Amino acid sequence: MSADASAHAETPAGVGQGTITPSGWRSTKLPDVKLLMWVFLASDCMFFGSLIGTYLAYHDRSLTGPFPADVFDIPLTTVSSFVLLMSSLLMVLALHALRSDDIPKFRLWTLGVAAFGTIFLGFQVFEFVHFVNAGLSIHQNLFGTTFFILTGTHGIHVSVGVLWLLAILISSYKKPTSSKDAVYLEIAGLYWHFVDIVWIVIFTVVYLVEFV
Amino acid sequence: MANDQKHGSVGGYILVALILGVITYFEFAIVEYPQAWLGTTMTFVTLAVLSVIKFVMVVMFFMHLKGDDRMYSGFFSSGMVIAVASFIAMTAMFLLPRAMSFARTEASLTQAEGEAGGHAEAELDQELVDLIESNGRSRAAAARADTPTPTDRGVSVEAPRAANDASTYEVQGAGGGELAGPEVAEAAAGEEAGAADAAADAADDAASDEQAADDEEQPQEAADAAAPVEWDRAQGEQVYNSTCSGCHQPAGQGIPGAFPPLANHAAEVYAAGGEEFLAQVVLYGMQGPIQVAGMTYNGLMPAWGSSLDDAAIANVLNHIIAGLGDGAADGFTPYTAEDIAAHRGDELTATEVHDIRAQLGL
Amino acid sequence: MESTSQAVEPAHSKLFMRPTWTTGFGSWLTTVDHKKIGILYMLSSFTFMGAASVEAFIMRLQLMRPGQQLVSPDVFNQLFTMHGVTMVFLAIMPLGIGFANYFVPLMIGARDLAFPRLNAFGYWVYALGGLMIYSSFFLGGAPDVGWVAYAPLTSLSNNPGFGVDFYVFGLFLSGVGTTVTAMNLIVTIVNMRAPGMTFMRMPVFPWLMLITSFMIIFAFPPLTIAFLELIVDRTFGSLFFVPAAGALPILWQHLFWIFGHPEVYIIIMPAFGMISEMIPTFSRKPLFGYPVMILASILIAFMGFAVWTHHMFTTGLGPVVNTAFSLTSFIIGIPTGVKIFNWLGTLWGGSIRFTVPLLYSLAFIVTFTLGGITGIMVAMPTFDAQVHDTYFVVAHFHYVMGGGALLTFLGALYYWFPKMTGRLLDERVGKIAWGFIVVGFHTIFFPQHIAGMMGMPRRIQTYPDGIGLEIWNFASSFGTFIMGVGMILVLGSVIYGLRRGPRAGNDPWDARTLEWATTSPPPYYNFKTQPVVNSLDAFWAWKHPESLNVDPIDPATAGKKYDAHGIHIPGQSWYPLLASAALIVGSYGLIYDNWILAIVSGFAFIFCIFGWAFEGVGGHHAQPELEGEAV
Repeated sequence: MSADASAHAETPAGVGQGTITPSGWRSTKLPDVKLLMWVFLASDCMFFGSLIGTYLAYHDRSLTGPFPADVFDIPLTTVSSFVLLMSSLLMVLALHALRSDDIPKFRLWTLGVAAFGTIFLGFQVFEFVHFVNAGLSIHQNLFGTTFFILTGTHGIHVSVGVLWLLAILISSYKKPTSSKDAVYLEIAGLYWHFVDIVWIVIFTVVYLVEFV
Repeated sequence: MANDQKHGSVGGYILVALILGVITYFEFAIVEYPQAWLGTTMTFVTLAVLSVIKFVMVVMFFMHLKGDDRMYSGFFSSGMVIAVASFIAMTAMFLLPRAMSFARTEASLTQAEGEAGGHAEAELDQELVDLIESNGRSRAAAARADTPTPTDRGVSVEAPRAANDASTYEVQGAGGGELAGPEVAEAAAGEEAGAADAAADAADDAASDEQAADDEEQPQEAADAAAPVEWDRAQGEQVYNSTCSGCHQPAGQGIPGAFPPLANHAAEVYAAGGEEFLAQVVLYGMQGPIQVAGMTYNGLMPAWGSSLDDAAIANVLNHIIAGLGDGAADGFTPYTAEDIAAHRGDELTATEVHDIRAQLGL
Repeated sequence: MESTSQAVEPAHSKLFMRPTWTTGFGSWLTTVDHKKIGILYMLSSFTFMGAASVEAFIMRLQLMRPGQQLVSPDVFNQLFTMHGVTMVFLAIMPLGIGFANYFVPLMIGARDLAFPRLNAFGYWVYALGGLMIYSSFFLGGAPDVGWVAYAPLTSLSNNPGFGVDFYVFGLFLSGVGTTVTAMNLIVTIVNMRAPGMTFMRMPVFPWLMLITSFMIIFAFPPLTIAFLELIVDRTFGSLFFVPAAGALPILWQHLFWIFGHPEVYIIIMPAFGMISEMIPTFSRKPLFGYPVMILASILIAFMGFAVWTHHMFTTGLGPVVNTAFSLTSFIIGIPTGVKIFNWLGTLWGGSIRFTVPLLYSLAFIVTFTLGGITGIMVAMPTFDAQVHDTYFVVAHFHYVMGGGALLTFLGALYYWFPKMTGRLLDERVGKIAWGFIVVGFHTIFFPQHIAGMMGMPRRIQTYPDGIGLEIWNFASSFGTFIMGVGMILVLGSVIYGLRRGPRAGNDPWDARTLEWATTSPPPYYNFKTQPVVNSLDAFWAWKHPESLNVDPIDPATAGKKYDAHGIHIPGQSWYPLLASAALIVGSYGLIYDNWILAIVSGFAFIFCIFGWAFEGVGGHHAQPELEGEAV
């Protein structure tokens, strides 16, 4: 069962898919950190799936108000969703710029992503304050509990992303940055896009369906 | 590290972003300007499809799974498949029984109104519905199926607190109140066995203390309640939550097959001439099979006469009739402590109370 | 304690110089070497296992006769809770991870895991999290809610003490450690296999660790969310599991078992991998049906996520749900059975050497099969309704986890001890210990099937006499003495072997996989030259290429070109330990509502992350020729 043609070849099978790196032999040409980030994102699907599942399980089970239709502001949330989507565009532009060794553009777009992310967080904070003033809190009813923890966890993910991008931006001034380091921006980008697609799901499943 | 993908173009990225923006606008428009011709189900489907398109576009183009090594797609799709499958299954176990009973109610409503137009849900296989609802948490939902849209039942979800803690207690109206977090925990710690007794003892004190407050709040409450009824709402609700809600549930919806609903049902019984019977049930308990809303219950209602005083029983009855469900019908006079005291001499057994119920023709 | 006098690289951070000790206490605290970390995992796991065994022993003493009051019900509740928590989360699962940590890189011809500091972090957060849970004994009482901690028993109003908080924070953090280690293993196995080692030439143990790691990364998040929800309920007053607010505590059961069922496959699959190494070695035959083994394991992993509700058959979800999950639970028995047949097929016709590892493997096959059969029995909701929450279930899972995982790990200990230490364990004492352990194990757990079928519930502190339970409980408790003797013999054997065991060469068993190609113990760079592979059972192919019909490979020269950049050894670091400590201290802050401590620890953690990121991989290049190491 192990006697295939490549067992007799000069170079064993599978070697061609690999590469020698400063850290040693790698059996694929895929960067370690990028594999790690995709593995993490696959795991994060279950993480947010659990939170969204909890939200849906408790949907319409609050015994007292405020209820979602009372407090949701769809136009506002649409704007914030749009901001987050556009931040993903800026993210790919930043990566493209870094790969092309256009460092000023890379810095500009990276700052843009962080800024848009912060604007999104600003919208979230505004929304949360509005909800709290309407009497919603995590101990008011099930809607408050599940909504705040779901969107709060998402917001923490966004905040971590913003901090990460700012750290990349600042360190690009302290150490020379070039396209050689693009993979580190790429994985930050993957994380950022993931946070964006989670929001796509939340926007539909939590906000929009309430008004159908 | 060698590159492992073909790079996209700036123009391509901007195009994707434009499409995402347009789709987002459509989603907003469909919800803010609902189209009657589209129908609820198709609106749901459209929103779902649009979201999936956005999701897939970001994953394929921004995250660059299209054109990247298949290993990444393998990792991500296995995560997505397991997450989506597990949580659709889990959520279905929570929502499906409710949806079935909701659909059944919808069906009966539409039949009653003679509305045309495809409520295909009306054709649900009754057997399947019964099968799914046969045991489990759907009971609560089935009982609530009468009110498919969320209504504020004005239920305060404060856990029972120490009886002499009236100072932190707020009277709840129909607009929903506030659940105090930390106080719940502290109060609940002291809530245990003696709460009913303590409630009975201190209720008298609390009642007189709150009489003044109640007097002030009368005008407000008059606007809230259907008819102005004077009784100690605070005590009624508090006793209900600490003593009755464990079985009959916080909103009086009961558990089908296990504990009969009180919301609306108690008011019906009152209107059918069961004024004295209701007092006797609470005082002496009841045992024997009964029918409520087409469902049989054959449990044991315990007697509360020795653990609740007259005022407590009076006020909890008032809460059950006038404070749960749709409230009291016209002609409801609140119980007073004297009304209850008058029945203390009946000395009935639980079975005898059951016979009284049967004689009422219920 | 020695230490080198200066760092090999200039330190980037002024606060913490990059540690470079190669021996001594500091070297263990700051190590990033997968072998040292593997040993740390094994030492911690066996220590926690000792604690859990004591807890079990006290419980069995209490239950030996009816009506005893050796321990109060309250203490008994803490004992069964901690026994379960320790065994599942702190002993058995980390033991599998520890063996994986040590041996997966060696078996795939790599020099370390892909992310060495992350590996260390995974260990420290597990170890410190476990210690944190145990500190609860001294800080007001251990959790007493069962290892599954169902809501709403765990709510603040029902359980105002700190025990549940220690449970939930400790396991939350431990789970984070397990998850990141699984991610690390996935990247390692995908990306660091030796040249020529395609996936279908990889030994079974790394394959099954790859599958186990995927199960871990998908199973732990729901548990993490369940813990998060309980933490927020208890600490901030949210309503996730508060029935008075309309919440449904069954949500906890769903989230827990979406994790909990894959968890038991996470526990057993490393054991499956080890059996798949030991049986071929001691049958002098290749594994029977290698591709089918891999496929069956992948199927088990996927299906493991589709059966969780079989833990909830009696919660009233209805006949439709029960039937669906009963079917999936039956189906998952099929690939498992296939694997058993493959192991039998490997033994059949082989030239069998009855060494201690093989004896444990045989005991595994028998015991695990029995456990699997009772598993199929409880997969029937009708039968499960009779035995749910009785000792029948206790017997079932001890047969699969104790008989399955534990026996295998003891066999693996004997198998791999020579590689890790360079010394052999005494075979004769090992066989005697094996006898005590296997006889003791069955004496403890077989009678529990009967007690369960007679209706004896789980988690009870005592039982009345006169209802026929006495003999079974007495027998079960008696068995603990027998098994205890065996375990103590193993412990003594290990201590003796460390000091006085006969020296083992590189390959005492004439084995088939690459870890046996290097010295015992391996040098810190694992292999002097990068191994190159052109076959399954790569080491056997090096030794006897004609038996596998492959070209011979000269290990000393074939891999030289792949070491063109030198052998990179990653640098040690304080940050994994410090980051873990920050998380633990912050958890104490949150438990005791000390917000200042929690916030400061949070900042400390973020500081450690930045330090970790900017410190870089560091390290140096090893030059084995100059160090005079032999291969």
